[in-house]
Amino acid sequence: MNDGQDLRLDGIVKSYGETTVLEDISLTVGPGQVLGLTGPSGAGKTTICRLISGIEKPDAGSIRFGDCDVTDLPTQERGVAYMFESYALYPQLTVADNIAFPLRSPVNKGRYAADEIERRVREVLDLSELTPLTERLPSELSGGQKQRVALCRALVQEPAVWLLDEPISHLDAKMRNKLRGSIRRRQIATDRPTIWTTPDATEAASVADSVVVLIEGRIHQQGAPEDIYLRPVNTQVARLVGDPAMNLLSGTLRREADVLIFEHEAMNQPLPPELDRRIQQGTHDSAIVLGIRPAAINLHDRDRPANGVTISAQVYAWEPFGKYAIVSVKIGSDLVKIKTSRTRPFEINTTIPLSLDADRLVAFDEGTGNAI
Amino acid sequence: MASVDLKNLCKQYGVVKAVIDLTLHCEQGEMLALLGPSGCGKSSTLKMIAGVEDISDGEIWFDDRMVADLAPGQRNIAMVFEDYSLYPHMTVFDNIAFPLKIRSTDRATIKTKVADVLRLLDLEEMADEGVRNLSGGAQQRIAIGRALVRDPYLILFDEPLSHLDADQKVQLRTEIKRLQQVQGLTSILVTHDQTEATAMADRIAVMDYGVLQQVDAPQTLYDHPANRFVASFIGEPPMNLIEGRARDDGGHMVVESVGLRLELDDQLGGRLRYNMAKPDIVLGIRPEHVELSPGRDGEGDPGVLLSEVFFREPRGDADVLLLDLPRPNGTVSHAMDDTVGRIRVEISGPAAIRAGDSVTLRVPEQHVNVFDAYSGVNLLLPDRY
Repeated sequence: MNDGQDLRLDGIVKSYGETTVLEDISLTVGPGQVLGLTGPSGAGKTTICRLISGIEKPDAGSIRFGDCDVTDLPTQERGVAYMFESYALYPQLTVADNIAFPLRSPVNKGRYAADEIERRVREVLDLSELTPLTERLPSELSGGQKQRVALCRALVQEPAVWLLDEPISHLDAKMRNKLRGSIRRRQIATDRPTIWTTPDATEAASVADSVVVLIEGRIHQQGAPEDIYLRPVNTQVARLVGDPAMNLLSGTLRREADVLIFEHEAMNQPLPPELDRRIQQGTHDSAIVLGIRPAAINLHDRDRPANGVTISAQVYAWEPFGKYAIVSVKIGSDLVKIKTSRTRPFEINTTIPLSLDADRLVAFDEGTGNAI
Repeated sequence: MASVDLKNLCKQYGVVKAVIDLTLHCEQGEMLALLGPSGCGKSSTLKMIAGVEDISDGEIWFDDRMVADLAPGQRNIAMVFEDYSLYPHMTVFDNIAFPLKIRSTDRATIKTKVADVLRLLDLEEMADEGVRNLSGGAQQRIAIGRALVRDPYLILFDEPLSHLDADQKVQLRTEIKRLQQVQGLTSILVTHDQTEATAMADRIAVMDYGVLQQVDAPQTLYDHPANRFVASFIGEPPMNLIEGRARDDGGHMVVESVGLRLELDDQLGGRLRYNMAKPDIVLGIRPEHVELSPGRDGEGDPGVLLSEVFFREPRGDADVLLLDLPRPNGTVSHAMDDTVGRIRVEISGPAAIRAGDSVTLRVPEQHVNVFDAYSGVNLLLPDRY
């Protein structure tokens, strides 16, 4: 095993019978880097982990750890630490013994002295706040505690590659918040690559050096966390990113004097020159999808309408979150989510005036869904 | 629909006290959430209200009827479960009609009532479909329809969103909230997820180890948590809790901690002086309330602290930064938890600030909470607590 090696997937294809589950997957994770692999359930995230670990074989393509092609190596020779989404704990072993298990396995025979094993186990127990539960059996743990044990059992190892398959999905908000940062800091201090899968694109962005968005077995976008948020390549990616995700409204384009107008059943939105220029270069179709971020919508006081109000919307629901609220409104027949720092309640079914932050609008081609 | 009153409710399993002296009121038409970590007693409470678990002590009232001794079937309660619990071989219509059919309701009434519910939940188009292949979100809407159709006194929602994918979760959360407000459903929601509780419920009862910690509107819980537990359970990222000391400085109450010195106004200072038993306190600061400027602007001004960014976590429209706080001279942190001795700050994102950057920060005193270091009680709350 070489230090400082990267993980490289090249042209990976995988099918089960007639169904292609992965199509031409190529990605690289550098040493000490975390790759956030995100996408809806069924996208193929777990299949990628299974291929890298060697539990399954790809139909085509190669998997390399540094200079070493491991595509045909059996699982136990790859040195992968794989945290399963299903935990797969040994029911007869205590928390501490479950975590120490890989260090005591025949593959690592003679590598770790007893006190070294104890030190390593203690470190990850502390990190995940499991120290008081050291002697418990898995049957005596809650779902979230089991997930933390499975996580520890992966982190405790010194593998060629870490695969963390939805490592914090079943934890409460406070623990998720803490572990996101502390695991990332731990992993980037090593010289090995880590893959972290999650259906939550915001979680992927917050833990990763680069994010891969996987949809139906195909990589739709690969980039820095900010890129995925600021510049989603198509409407499918835009639907996954953001909390709440970007609003997507279909409409047509019309030019009035010098201004390009987005026409929708319930609004006429002038588009800024910069977007106008890009649309001219990008498409000749008059039908587009306008992307409106929930935080880029301004709410106005009904009694004191401000300049720039272009939309009148009906309040559908109001959900407060302490520091901000999400107001769902109907603009024509479309349901649009607004994120506002106003925490006073909104009355359902009332009409409120809105304006859009035109500089933060995004446009997609109606036919292909690609960003313009 | 009815109002619900729990009076001094207790539940004991052998020597374990699962629910201790719980008194709660749920107004007619209100959604009350029972929120807390696993083992807090919320599910035991739900089961006692439903009648599937005997009570150890106390009373349960629906309006002016004491129901604690009634069988579950006599309480006229509808339940919506985590896993939908639909009849897989029946159509959408038949699933919703089921509670009426077993009560031998006449066919015409069934037809009208089910049609009303289908329209309300936007399920009309799938009325004749089987439920097996529908999405989780659609199945849960059908389960809600089945609960509504029988005009129950009360609807119990038991973790209704936890089986759903993220996008469907957000969608159904909005739908339940709207439905509850439009229809004025008396409902009790059990959840461990604070975002679900704050988004949907009119009021939230926060529980820990069987004991009610606080019951209030979501915004009140967020702004004025009764104690440290509520403060750290509600809000994401969680509130910063930093040890410090409080003292009277020439007639003004002052709170000091790691280089911060906050002088409270007369109202808050007065409450602190009145409630405080010992000078040891814990300062509670929400991450979004810290004012941050890049660079060293304002360094040396009173109330301004120079700091360095230890870690940046991009969260889409926000960035969460972990900043170093000054340590007492010569000390080094040996804590395994590398957030100790640091403060979490949330700013609009994506920002240009990176780890290692110098920043200055200021904590506006009107937004802080101050807790007793031993009891955890919030010392800045008005008398009603």
